[in-house]
Amino acid sequence: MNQFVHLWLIFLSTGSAMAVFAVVWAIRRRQFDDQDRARYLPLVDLPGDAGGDRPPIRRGASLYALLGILAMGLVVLAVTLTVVLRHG
Amino acid sequence: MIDFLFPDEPGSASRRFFMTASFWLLVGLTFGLLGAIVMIAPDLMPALAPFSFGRLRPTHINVLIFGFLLSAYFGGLLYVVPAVCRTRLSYERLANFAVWYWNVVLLSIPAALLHGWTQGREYAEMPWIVDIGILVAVAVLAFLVFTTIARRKENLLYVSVWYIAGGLIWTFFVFAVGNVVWNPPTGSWFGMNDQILMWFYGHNVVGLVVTPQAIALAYFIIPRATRTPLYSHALSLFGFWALIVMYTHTGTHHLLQAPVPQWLKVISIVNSIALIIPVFAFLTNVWLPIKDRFGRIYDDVGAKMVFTGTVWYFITCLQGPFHSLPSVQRVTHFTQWVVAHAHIALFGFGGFIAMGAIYFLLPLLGREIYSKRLANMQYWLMLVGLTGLFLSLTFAGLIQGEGWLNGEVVYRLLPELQRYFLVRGISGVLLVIGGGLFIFNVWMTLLRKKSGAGPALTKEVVTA
Repeated sequence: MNQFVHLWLIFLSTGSAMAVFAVVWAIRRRQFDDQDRARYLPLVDLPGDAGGDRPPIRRGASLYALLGILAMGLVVLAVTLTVVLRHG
Repeated sequence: MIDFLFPDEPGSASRRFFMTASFWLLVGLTFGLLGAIVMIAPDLMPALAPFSFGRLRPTHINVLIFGFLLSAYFGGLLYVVPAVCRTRLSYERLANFAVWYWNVVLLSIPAALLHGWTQGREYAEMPWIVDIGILVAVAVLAFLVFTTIARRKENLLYVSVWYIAGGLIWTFFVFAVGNVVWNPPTGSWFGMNDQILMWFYGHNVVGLVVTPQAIALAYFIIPRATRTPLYSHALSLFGFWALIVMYTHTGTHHLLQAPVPQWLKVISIVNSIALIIPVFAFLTNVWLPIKDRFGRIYDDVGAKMVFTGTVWYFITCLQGPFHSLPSVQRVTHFTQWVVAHAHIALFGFGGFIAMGAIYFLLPLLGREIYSKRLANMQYWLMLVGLTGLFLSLTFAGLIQGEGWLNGEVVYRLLPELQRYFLVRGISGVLLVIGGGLFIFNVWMTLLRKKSGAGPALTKEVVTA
C-alpha cells in the first residue's frame, strides 16, 4: 500500500502544480478581468436580441416529457432511499 | 488524393469526426443489444466465443465511449475552440489525419476484444498497444487545441475552451495512469493497488474524460440556441476549478466493501458528495437564463438533445452522492441499479449531448440537416428507450439488493428479473433503431452537396 501512497502523492502534487500554473497564467493574461463580456462570447455574431426580446414559453410534448423525466428521477431516488432506510 | 484524404478546408475534420461518431454509435448500440439478448435468452446466440457476454459487454462499452462519445467530442471541440477564439483551426490537415488514424485505433478495439485479447479491467480492457494508440490520438488533439488557442484573436478564453483544454489533459493522464501503461504485459499493477487505480480511472472516464467535453459543448450550444448569455461566466469558471478539486478522488467509492485504507474511502465519499457544487454551478448557468426561452430549445432538435442531456445529468448527479454512501451501497452494490446509473451518466448525459452537438453544429459547418423529422423521431425513440432501460434496470437492481439482504440466493432471484431484462431488451431495440436513423441522417447530411454557408460566426471562422 505504501507504493500507492507514493503514487497518490506524486499525482496530487503534479496535478496541483499544473493547476497553480494554469491559474497564474490566467491571472497574468487577465482571463478573470472581464467576466461580463465573456458571457456573450458564443453570441457575438448573432443579431442583437441577446437579453432583449422575450419569446413566449411554448409548452410542447418535449417540455412535458423532460419534466416527467425529472419527476421520474426524483421518484426513483426516493424509492431507492426508502428501500435503504427499511434495512437500517 | 492528398486533398481528399487530408483536406485543408475549415470544418472538414469536424464533419468527418461526426461521421465517425454516428457509425460507431450504431456499432456500439448493436453490441449492447446483443448483450441484452444474451441476458434474456442465452441459447439464442450462436455458441461462438465472440458472442459470449464476457466479450460483448466490454466491446459495447469501449466502442461507445471511445468510438461514439470521444469522436463526437473531438468533432465538436475542433469547431468550438476556433469559433470562440475567433481564429481557424491551427492544422486542419493534421486534424483530418487524426480522423483516419483514430478510426484505425477504433477498429482495433472490437477486433481485439471480440477475439478475447483483453486485459480484463473494467473500461480498461484494451491491450497495451491500443492504449498507446488512444494516447497518441489524445495528444494530437491536445496539440491542435493548444496551438489554436495560441493563435487566438480573442484574448478572453470562454469557459468551453477551459473545459476542452483541461479535459484533454485529464484524459491523457487519467487514461495513462488508469491503464498502467508502464506495465505493457498486463496493463495492471498488483493487488488492491491495482483496483484503486482501476476505479480511479473507471470513474474518471465519466468525470474527467466525458463530463468536461460534454459540458464544454453545452456551454456553447445552449446560450447560442437560445441567444441568451450565460447566467455568470465567473460561476462557470468556479465550476471548472471545483470539478478539478472534487472529481479526482471519487473512484474509491466503488471499493467501500474492499480492504482499502479508510482515509481514502473517506476522501472518496466526501468528494462524491461535494461534487454537487460544480454540478449545480453548471446547471444554474445553463438553466436559469433560458427559463422563459424554452421555445428556442424546443425548435432546434440539436439543442433539445443537448438540453435533455443536462436533465439526465441532473438526475445522475443527484443519484451519485447518495450512491457513494455505504448505507445506500448495502442495497445497490453489485446490482443492476449501478448499471442503470452508468447508462444515464454515459448515454443520457454524455450521449445525448454528443448527438445534440452533432445536429446543432452541422448547420454551423455549412450542412443543413438532411431530415429534421427523422432527427425528431430519433430523439423520441432514444428518450423512450433510455427511460425504459433506466427504469427496468433500477427496479431489477432494487429487487436484487433487497433479496440478497433478505438472504435470498442468486438463482431464486433470477426468475424475478426476467421481465425487467425483457424491458431492457425492448428498450435496446428502440435505441438501435434510433442509432440507425442517426447514422442515416448524419451521413445523408454530409454526403449531399454543400447546403447553406451557416451563420456569420462560421463565416468569420471559415474565412479567417
